[in-house]
This record gives sequence, structure tokens and C-alpha cells, in this order.
Amino acid sequence: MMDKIRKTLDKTSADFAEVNMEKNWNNKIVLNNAEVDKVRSGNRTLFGVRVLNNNSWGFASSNDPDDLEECVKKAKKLAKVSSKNSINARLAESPINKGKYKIKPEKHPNDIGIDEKLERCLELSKNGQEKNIKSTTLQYLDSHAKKVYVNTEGTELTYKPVRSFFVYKAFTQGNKLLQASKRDAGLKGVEILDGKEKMVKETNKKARLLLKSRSPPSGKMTVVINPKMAGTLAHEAIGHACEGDSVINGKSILQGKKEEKIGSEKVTIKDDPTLENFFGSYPFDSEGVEGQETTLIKEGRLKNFMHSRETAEKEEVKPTGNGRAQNPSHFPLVRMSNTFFCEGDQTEEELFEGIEKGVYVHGMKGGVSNTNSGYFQFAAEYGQLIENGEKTKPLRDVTLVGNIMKTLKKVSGAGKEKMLGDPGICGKAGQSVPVTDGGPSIRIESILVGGNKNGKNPL
Amino acid sequence: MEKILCKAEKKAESAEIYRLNEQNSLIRTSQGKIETSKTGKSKGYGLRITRNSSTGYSYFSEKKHADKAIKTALKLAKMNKNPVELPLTKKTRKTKTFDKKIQELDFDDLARLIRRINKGTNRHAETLKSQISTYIVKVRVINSRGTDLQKKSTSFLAYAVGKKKKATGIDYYFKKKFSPKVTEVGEKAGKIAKKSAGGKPLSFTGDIVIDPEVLSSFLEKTVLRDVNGKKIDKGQSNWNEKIGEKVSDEFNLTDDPFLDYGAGTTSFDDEAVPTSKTTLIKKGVLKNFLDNLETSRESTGNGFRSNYSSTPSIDTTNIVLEPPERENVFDVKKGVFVKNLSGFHNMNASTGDFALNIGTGFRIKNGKKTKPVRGCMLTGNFYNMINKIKGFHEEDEQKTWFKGPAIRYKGKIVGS
Repeated sequence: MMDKIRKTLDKTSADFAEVNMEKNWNNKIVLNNAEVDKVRSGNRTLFGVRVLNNNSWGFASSNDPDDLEECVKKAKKLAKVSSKNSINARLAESPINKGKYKIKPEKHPNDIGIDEKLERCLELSKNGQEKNIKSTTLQYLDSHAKKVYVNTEGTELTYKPVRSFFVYKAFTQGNKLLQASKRDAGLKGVEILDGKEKMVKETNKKARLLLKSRSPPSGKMTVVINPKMAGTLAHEAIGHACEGDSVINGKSILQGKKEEKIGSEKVTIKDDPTLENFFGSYPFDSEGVEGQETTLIKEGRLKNFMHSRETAEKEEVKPTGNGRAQNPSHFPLVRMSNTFFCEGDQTEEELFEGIEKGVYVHGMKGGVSNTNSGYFQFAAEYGQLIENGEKTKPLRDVTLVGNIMKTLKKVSGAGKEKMLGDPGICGKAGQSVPVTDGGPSIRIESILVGGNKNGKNPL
Repeated sequence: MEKILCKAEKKAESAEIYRLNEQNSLIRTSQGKIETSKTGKSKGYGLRITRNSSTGYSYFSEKKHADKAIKTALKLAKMNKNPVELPLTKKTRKTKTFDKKIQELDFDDLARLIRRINKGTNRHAETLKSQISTYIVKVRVINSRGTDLQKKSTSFLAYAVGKKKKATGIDYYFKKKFSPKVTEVGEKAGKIAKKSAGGKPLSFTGDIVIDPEVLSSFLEKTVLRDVNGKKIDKGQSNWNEKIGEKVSDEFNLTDDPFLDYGAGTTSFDDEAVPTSKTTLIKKGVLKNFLDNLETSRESTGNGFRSNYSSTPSIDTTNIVLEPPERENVFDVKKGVFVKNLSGFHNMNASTGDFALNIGTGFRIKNGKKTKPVRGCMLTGNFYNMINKIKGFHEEDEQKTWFKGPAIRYKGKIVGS
């Protein structure tokens, strides 16, 4: 395939052209209440051609490999359409990369029959059928692919990733239906199903705990956020504001603030796709640029943004290997990989010390942030009241609201132990990519906590 | 396709092939300049085979993989326990889903249209982003019971984001019919940005007016999940045993696949079942669920595939909310109009509790929208909201798949 692409690209007169091609195989198992809901397998091929001509972009994609030559021509034609009022795109220089990469999981999805995978999932799901658990859903997905990247500068890369994803949800019925879920995902194979009994039991326990939980107090207070919520803060509130395209387009509050102190000494945040086998890891991005560690904030000082080749050129820096596309039929955008708060030096006890009344925030259900204003709002899976330095009553529907420009300065503690491995799918401009986030537990002196049952303040 | 079906039939009790053929084109601008021009096409097949009263699914994009896909589906059928009875040929109702004008648009036209959007936005604010997209989708479903249905649809999206100071304004149009009025989309985004500039947070309890698009997002997260027949069968809906019970104020909520050029308009679903108008709520009483061939009730024609690689699942078509009576919901002494809320994926979908950020909002004074509001949270519970509606607006709005009015209720906003 590499040769065919190279030959086709050799024929184009465009200033720059690149091809991403992928063939992937997928399996999916869905179980409800320990019964099979769906089992599905399949494969597909897809590719995309991106052409830069006269500083204007054109893009064409198809899933029929015979269309390759036609797509190169089409993309060049579309670059002409863009050139009438173009953004004047230029690419930062990037080394010519050649290499073959492969993920070698313990248990390759191809080596294990779908019946065996299903049996294992059924076994896990049966384990979850417990008292007070009204309903459960278990989902398992695996995929492996052959990826090829070729550009007119000479870069030629192949990559055979293997990915798996596991999620378990448990529902309990109080006045309303309550849901708890846990997941695992990474560049790994069927071994993801090993030892998941513990995760199933923990999720059930969490769902039952929600039955006893109440809404948190509202108002500004001291909180300790656990590694999952720290990851959300790193990814949603800071990471998105550090994406080169947002910065350049004036959509980030961090524009023009490089080298400024925007957080306390306790705040160091990095993005790193080279960490081994996490969900957001990769050897090279969709522009053929090698993945690399990027320090976004070091001890409170804003150091770097993440870039594609195009945004790096505009900022006159080197590309950071963050130009990612959901798949070859999409245009690469500046995206994160594995984004996290770095560990500090405090013990768990020290983090809670002296908090008279506060909230300990566990996990996260999701988050949004406005990169323009720095505003963020995150919903936690659940929480606990902190009273006199001790964790007490369980809480649900805890929401944190703040602004990174204020909140990062109020970070007063970071735990010794970092946990990275909360995998997720990050959406931007209609494209979804696998990412991971994390960090240690973080203490924030003052942040707005939103509850919702007014007048039922448990404090 | 017939050949593949023939092969599959030989080894199975029944078989179905779904073929999806898609073409899309887009132009996107950033700060008024063309960021990219893009075109894409894709074709693929989803296979469903039943053997020994169980069903297996597989998919493929290249025809040469058809034999292997049949084998895989047969193997998977052994493991699945949900038998699906494929439909016989039935008559479908004609719907308006295809606009020749969309098919005829070339990239020079798209470039011209996007210039008009930006011109509209520029009259009031800066142009942050804009996009024009077109889609042409062809679907064919054939099955071993003689059913052979085909449909063709087009879609047109015009989208604009304006910016003034730190405030943004968004407007869009997404239907199966071309709209030449794209300047208005740009203009509206610009106007909203301009009016929102300098918005401040506030704390407020009282009359709150919710925009129809915000209402549709709430419905999507809660009620429309509750009426999903699959969730009912699994016991994961709040409305499991509530048919015939009062679930809301006295409005009607209907799944209507026949609205002309609506984003969800279609004559049959992706399982070849003719679509039908389904009353979900009538005068506040829960009447029906939405079903496909896999649920324990008869299919309502709501089995859709998001792609050829995905298996059919339940989805809505167009949703129509009809109020019992109408008024000018803005006609209050003091209130807040919530035009845009962000973070819906943060809301607790199972309980209906929410605390969402107001992206664009305005104070209402003596029936008029006045100062902008942003950076504060609308908090409450959606199930409570739809049981305490104080008024439905005079006019309906339909931008995509939802048609309905703005509503007014007594709610709470928490400032920071």
C-alpha cells in the first residue's frame, strides 16, 4: 500500500500533500443484566488526502482505495477554491520520519475468539447481579488497525495499534433512577478483561452509595479533588485553553500569557502521548510528527502550547505532535493526548488538614470549559463532606464552577501519588479522539460548589 | 447486493442487508478566512442474519469482504439471544427529504454562500467561525422476506459564530431543504454576540423563559431517553411502568417523521419498517414508547443506524411539542430569558437534576429583553420543570429536529 500511495503522491504538483490510510477490525459486545444484547464484528478501510497549495487547504476522503488518485486531484482542486480567501496556511518544518510501529498486547484480539470474549464478559456481568442493583450494562470493544502515513516531503510511517475499551454501569432505584459507572481503556488487548470483578463490585457499591447520598452545600469553600477530577481540570479547563488553534484564533484566555505566572507553585501540567499504552498514547500524530512530552504549566508559570504543524508555524515554534484527526476522513486539529497534573509532595492527611467545612470531590461525569473566558464547570460522580479534616457524609450532584485564572492560583496542595488512566473520548469540532487524563489529589482553597436542592444544606 | 443476500439466505433463516452511501462537502472559515474546503464519500454494508432464533451482526466497506462478513454474522448469531423478525414489504408514506438544489451546489456556490454568512455576522460583530455543509445520503435495505426499500435525502447546514468582546453568539440552520437565507444566520449570530457583550452573572429566583433549542437539549437528555423502548426493556428508564400516568403538564409530545424537510424526516427506518407518527405524551399523560424490531413491543419505525458499522438502535425522528394554549411568555415584569446553556453532558440524565452554565441570556423587564446575562448557573430539575410550566410562547421554532415554543417557568439562577 505504501508504494501505491508514494507513486500517486509523486505525480502531484501540489506544494504539499499527505495521505492517511487505515484499515481496521472491530468487535463489540453489549450485555444487559448479564444477557447478551448485541455482538458485532466488522472491518472497514478509509483514507484521506490533504493538499496544501498556494497556502490553501483542500481535503478529499473515501473508503474505496481505488479512489486514491481521484482524491489527490480533488483535494488539489479544493485547495484552489480555498485560495480565493484563504487563511494563508503554512507548515512548520518537521523532520522526515520513517518508521514502523506496533503495539504488542498480552492477548491480541485476533488470537482470541469472540465466543471466548463473550463468555468472559458474561461471567463478569453475572458477578454484578446483586441485591439492590436494578439493572446493569457491560460493554466491551476491541479494535486493531493498520495505519499508513505518507507525505510528499518523504515521511513514511506505519503503525499497528491495538485498542480495547471496557465499561460497566450499574443502576439503582431510589425516588429516581441512579447510575454509577467505571471504565478502563488503553492500547491493550483482551487482557483488559482480566481482574475486572473488582471494578464490577466497586461500581455496584458506588451505585448503592448514591441511594444514601444527598446534594452538597452551595457556595464557595475549600475542596479536595481526587485524581480523576484533577484530570478533568487539567484536560478541560487548562488543556483546551492551551490548544494552539484556540490560542491563535483569540479563543483562549491564555493568549499572550506565555511565561506569566497563572497558578501557584503546586501547579505543573503536561501533555504526553509517549506514555506507554495509555488510551491517548501514539507514536506519531495525523501529520506524521512524532509524539512528545509538552510541559504546559511549570510550577504555576505558563510555558508552552500544543501545536499542529500549521499552528506551530504561526507561533514560530516547533510542532509538538498534537495534530490529530478522528480518522483519515477528517482534517487534523490541535488535540490533546494524555494530559495531567504532576505529583506534589503532600500526603493524603496533609491535603485534608485544617479544612473545617469543605467537599471531597470524587470522579467526574463530564465537564465543559469556555477557553475564551477561562470559565469551567464540572459535574462530579459523587462526593463527601469534609468536616474538621475528616471525610463524612456522602454527596451526589456535586458541581464545581470556577475560572482557571483564579482557581489555579488557589491550588494549595498536590498529593504524592499521581494516578493517570482515566480514559475518555474527547470531542472537538465534530471529531472524537481517545485521550487520558489524571493527576494526584489536589487541594483548592476556594471554589464555587453548586448543589441543587436549595434549602437542604447539610452543613 | 442481491447476490450477497442470496448467499447469506442459504445458510440462515433470514437475512438483511443495509447499504449506506454518503457524500458530504463543506467549507469552513475562521475569522472570515477559508480554513478548509473538504469533500468525502463513503459506502458500506451492515449485515444482519438470523439462525436458530438468534441474530448476528457484521459490517464491511469493501464488497470483497462480503463472504467473510456472512461467516462472521452466522458465527455471532450463535451467541446472540435476541431473535429479530424482519419485516415483510409494506407501503411507505411519501416524505419530503430530497432537495435537488442541494445536490446541484458546487464548491463555488458554497464559497459564495459562506461569504454571505460572514457578511451578515460582520454587520454586528466579528466573524469567529462559519460553516456550510451539504450531505447526500442514499440508503437501501433488502431482506430475505422480499422487502426492498430505497431512500435518498439531502441536508444543508449553515452555521455561524459571532464574537463581540468576550461574548459569542451562535446561530444555525439544519434541514433537508436548501435555504438561500444564509445571510440571516450570520446576521443573527452577530446580533446575539453584540447584545451579549458585557454580560454579567446574577442570582435570581422567578420567571425564567427557556429558548426552544434549550428545551430540545433538555428533552434529548431526559424524556426522549425515558421513552426509548430499549431502555424500558432494560429497566433503565424513569418511566418504566408509567404508561397511562401523568408525567408532565398538559402538553402533547409527538415523534413525527413526516414534517416537510425536517432534520429527522424519513419514510422508513434503517430496518425497513415504515415510519409512523407516535404520540409520546398526550395532555401530560404518557401514551407510547419508541420501538424498533429488537424491543418487546411492535416497532414504531424508530430503528436507526448511525453508520453502516453500527447496529440498529432506537432514535427519534422529529419531535413536536404542542402546548394546550399559548401566550407571550416574555410578557412579565421581571424575568430572565435563557437563550443558550452549555454543558448538557454534565447534567444528571437519570434524575433530571442540572446546574448548567448560561452562555447567552438576557434580563426581561416589563416584557422586553434588556441587559445580557452570562457566567452564572441555571439550576433545578427538568422533571419538575415540565410539571410546573407557567406559559407556552405564541410562536414555534424549528431549527433542526425539534418544533416547539419557548416556555416560561419559575426557576432559579445562581451567580458566582
